Amino acid sequence: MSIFRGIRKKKRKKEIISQGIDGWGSQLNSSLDADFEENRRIFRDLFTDCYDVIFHPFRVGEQVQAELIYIQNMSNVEEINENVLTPLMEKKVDPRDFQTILERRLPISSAKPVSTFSEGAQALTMGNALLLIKGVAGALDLSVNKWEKRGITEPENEPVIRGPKEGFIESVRINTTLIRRRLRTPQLKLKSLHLGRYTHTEVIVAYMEDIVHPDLLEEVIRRLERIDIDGVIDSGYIEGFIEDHPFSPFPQVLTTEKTDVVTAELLEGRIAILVDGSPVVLVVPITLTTMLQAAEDYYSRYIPATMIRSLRYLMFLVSIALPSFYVATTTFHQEAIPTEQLISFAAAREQIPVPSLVEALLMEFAFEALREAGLRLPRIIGSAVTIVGALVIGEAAVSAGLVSAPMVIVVAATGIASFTIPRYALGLPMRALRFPLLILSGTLGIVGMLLGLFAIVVHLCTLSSFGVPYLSPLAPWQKRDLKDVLWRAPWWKMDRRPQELSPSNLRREAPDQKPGPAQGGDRRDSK
Amino acid sequence: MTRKGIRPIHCLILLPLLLVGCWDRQELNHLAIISALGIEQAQDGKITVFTQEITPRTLKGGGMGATSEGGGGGKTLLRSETGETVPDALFKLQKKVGRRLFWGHTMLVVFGERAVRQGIQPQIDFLIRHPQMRLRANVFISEDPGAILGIQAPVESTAARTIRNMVDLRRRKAMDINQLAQMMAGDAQTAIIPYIQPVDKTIPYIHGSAILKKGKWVGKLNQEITEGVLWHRNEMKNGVISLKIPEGRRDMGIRVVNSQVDMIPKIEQGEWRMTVRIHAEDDIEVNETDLSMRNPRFVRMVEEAAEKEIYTLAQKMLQKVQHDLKADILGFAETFHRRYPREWEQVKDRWDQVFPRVKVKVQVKVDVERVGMTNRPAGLPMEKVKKK
Repeated sequence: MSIFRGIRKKKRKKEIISQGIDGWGSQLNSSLDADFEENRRIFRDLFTDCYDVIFHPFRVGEQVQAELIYIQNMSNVEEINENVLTPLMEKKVDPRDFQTILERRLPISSAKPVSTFSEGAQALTMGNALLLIKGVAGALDLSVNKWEKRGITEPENEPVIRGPKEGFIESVRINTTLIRRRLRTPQLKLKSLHLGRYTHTEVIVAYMEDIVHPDLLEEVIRRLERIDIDGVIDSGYIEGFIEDHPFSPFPQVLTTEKTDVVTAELLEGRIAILVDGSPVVLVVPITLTTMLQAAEDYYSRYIPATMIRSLRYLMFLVSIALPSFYVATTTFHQEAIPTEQLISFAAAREQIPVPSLVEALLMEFAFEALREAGLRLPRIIGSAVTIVGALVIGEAAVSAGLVSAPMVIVVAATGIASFTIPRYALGLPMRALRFPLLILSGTLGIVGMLLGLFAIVVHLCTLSSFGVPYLSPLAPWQKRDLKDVLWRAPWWKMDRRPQELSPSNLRREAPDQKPGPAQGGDRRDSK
Repeated sequence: MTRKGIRPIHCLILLPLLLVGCWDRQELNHLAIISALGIEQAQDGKITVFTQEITPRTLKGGGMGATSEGGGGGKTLLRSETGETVPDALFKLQKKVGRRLFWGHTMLVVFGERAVRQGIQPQIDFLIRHPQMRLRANVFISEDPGAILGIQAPVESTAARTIRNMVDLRRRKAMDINQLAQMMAGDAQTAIIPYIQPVDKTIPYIHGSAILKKGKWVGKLNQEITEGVLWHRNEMKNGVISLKIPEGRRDMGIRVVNSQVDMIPKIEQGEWRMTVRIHAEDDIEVNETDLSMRNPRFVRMVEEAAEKEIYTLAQKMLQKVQHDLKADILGFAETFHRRYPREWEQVKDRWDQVFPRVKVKVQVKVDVERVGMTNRPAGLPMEKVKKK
C-alpha cells in the first residue's frame, strides 16, 4: 500500500506543475488587434456571462464607430457620461490616434493606452473603462473607477486613549493616501505589485527611501515577487509567504490597522506592505520588543509610559507561565508556599477529585473556549456567553467541586495578563505555548517549567525577521537601542533610529533638545 | 541527510518522557501537613513522637458556598506513636495516617524534658538530615510536648503559628534547629533552649529556659535569668526594666530599645579575665516620680539607676550560669578562642573547669534616648513637678 501511495503522490505533484494556475485564457497574452471588430469580438468573448460588464457602442464625432466597455457600479457612470461620451460625441471630433484624443478631447486626468488584452481586462476589473475606436489601434484605459468603500473608522482591535484614532480600510488606494497625508515627502515611496493570478490584488510596498536599508528593501521585494498563488484575500496570505521561520508559533511580521503606527515604523526604517482588500498592514522587520510596544507608549509622557511598559513585560511572562508555576509549586514544591497560603490552597483542593494539572488544563480549555465563543458569536449573543461563562466558571464550577477557587483566580489572572499584550498576534502563541508548559510543569515541577521556558527562549534566539534577530537589541546586545526597550526614552533622547534598520541614516533628531529654562522654557528670559 | 539522521534521536529523547509520568507529584489533598513535631522519651529507652497535623477542611471550611461552620474537630489534629528511634516512630505513625506526612511546613519542634535529659544529639541529627525538615523551625523544651501540640489556637491557624508569632513579637532570636546544632557543636558545647508550657488548653507560654551541655540537660533558668542571658548574647533587643529612683522615691519604667554587649577577653599571668561591656539605649515608659525629665540631671539619675539595675541582673545571671550551672552559654569560649587561639588549645578539653574561674568584670552604660511624649510627669499640677 505504502509503495502505491508514494507513486500516486509523485504523479499528482507532476500534474499540478504541468497544469499550472493560469487565470486567463491563452488569447489574453496576445496584443490587441488593429481591427476594431476583432477586438470587440474578443472582449465580448472574454466577458461572456458577465452581466455586469457593459458594452456601450457609440459614434465618435457622429461618424466613427466606437465602443466603451466598463463594469457596472465599479465605474463612475456620471463621469463617463460627462467627460467621455459627451466630448467624444461632438461633431468636430476627428479620431486619428489616442494621443490626440487624450490631449485635446478627453477631460480625464488619468488615462493611458493599452496594447494587450490582458492589460485591458485587468483595467476593466479595476473599474476602469476601455475605449475602442474603429481605425485606431489599441484601446484606451480611462481611470473612472469608483466603488463603495467603508468609511475610515477607529480600529476596534487597537484602541488608544490618546493618539490618532484613524484606521486603515479595505481599499489600498485610500490606505496609501492616509500614509501619504502623514508623510508629505517624495521620500515616501509606494511601490506597486500585483499578486494573485485571479485576484490580481494590488500590493503596495511602502518605505522611506533614504532611511530604509537597501538590502532589506531588495529582500522584501524579492520575497513578494516569489509569491505565486491564485488569490490574495487578506494580508495574512502574504504574511505566510514572506516569514523567515514558517514553523515558529511567534509572529515575525507586525500587523496593524493604525495609520500612525505604520508611519512611525516607516520613519524607523521599516517597510510596510499594504494589501488591497485588507485593512491590516504588514510591517517588517520586527523584534519581540516591538510587539510589546503599544502606540500609546509614544504619545503619553515617558515616565508613565515606561511604567506601563514594564508592567506589560511582567504580564507577558505571567501570561505564559503563571498556571504552570501554580501547578508546579502546589504539586511538587509545597514547601515553597507560605504556610497560611498552603493551608487555604489545601482547603480549596480538599474536594477536587482530579489532579491539579488536569484541573488547570480543564480551566484553561474552558477559558480558551469561552474566549473563542465570545469572539466568533454575533455581538448580541456575546454578552450571554460572558454571563454564562462568568457564572459557570467563576461560581458554579467551584461550588460543584470541579475546580478550586485558587485555580479560577490563576486562570483569570493569566487571562487578564494575556490581554495586556498590545499585539493580538503575539497573544496567540502565548496562549498556545501555555499548554505544553503546563504539562511539563505538571510532570516535572519547576524543573520542567524552566526547561520549557529555556526551550522557548532558545527558540526566540534562533528567530529572525527579515534577517533582524528577533530578540535584538537584547540579544545581540545593542546598548544604544535599549532606550526604547527597557524604558521609553523621552523624545528628546530618542535621537537615533534602531541600528539594525538604518545604519546609514541613524540620527533622527538634532542633539541637545532637552527642554528646560536654559532652552527657552523660562519666560522670564524673554521679558 | 542530516534531517533524516536526527529524527530517530528525537524520538529516543522524547519517548522516555512518556515513561516518567508524574513520579514526584503529590497533590495538596494527599498531604498531611505537619505544623509541629514533639519528641519525648518513653519507657524502655523508646521514643514517642507527637505530630500536629493541619486539617485544612476544618480550618478554612470547604470551597466557596460550602462552608462548614465548626463541622466538628479542631483545626489541628494531634497524633502520637512510639518507636525505637524517631524515624522508626514516624514510620509507624505514617501507617496510621491516610496521607503522606509532609514536613516542609514544620515550624516548631518541642522536646520533652525527659528526652533532653537523655540527650538529644541523635534527634538533632535526624532533624538536620531529613530533606523536608526546615532548619529554621523553632526548638522548645516542655514538660509535656503532647499538651503543647494539642493546643487549639483560638486566633491563629495553628498552635505552631501562635508560638512562632510570639517569638517574632518578642523580637528575640528564638532557637532554631540550625542554631541549636551549631551551638551544640561549638567550643563550649552548650545550648540554651526556651521553655514552653501550656497555661490552659489554648494558650502556650514561653517562660524560662533550659541549659544543655553536650546535648544533655544541666539545668533550668527562670525568666529573669533567661532574659539576662539573652541580653548578654545580644539576642534580645527589647525589654522593660523597673527602677527605683532614690530622689523621687518612686518607680520608673524604662524600655530597653537597643542594647549592645561587647566582650573583651584578657589573659594576664595565667589569669583569664573577661570584661563585659553593656551599652543600652532606653526609652522612658512611665514616670511615677515628680521629676521633670527636661532636666538633664534627672535623666542622668535615671540612667545611673538603670545601670545599677542592669549590673545587678548581670551579676545574678553570672552567678547562676557561671558558678551554679558551670555551663558556658555566654559565648566566652568562642571569644577566648578567637583572641587567644594558642591558649585556647591548651584549655579546650578542660574548659568546664576553667570557665567558672574566669574573672568577669561588668561595665554598664545606659543612655536614655527618648523620654516619651511628655517631659514633665503628666497629670501632675505644674507646681508639684520638681524641676531642679
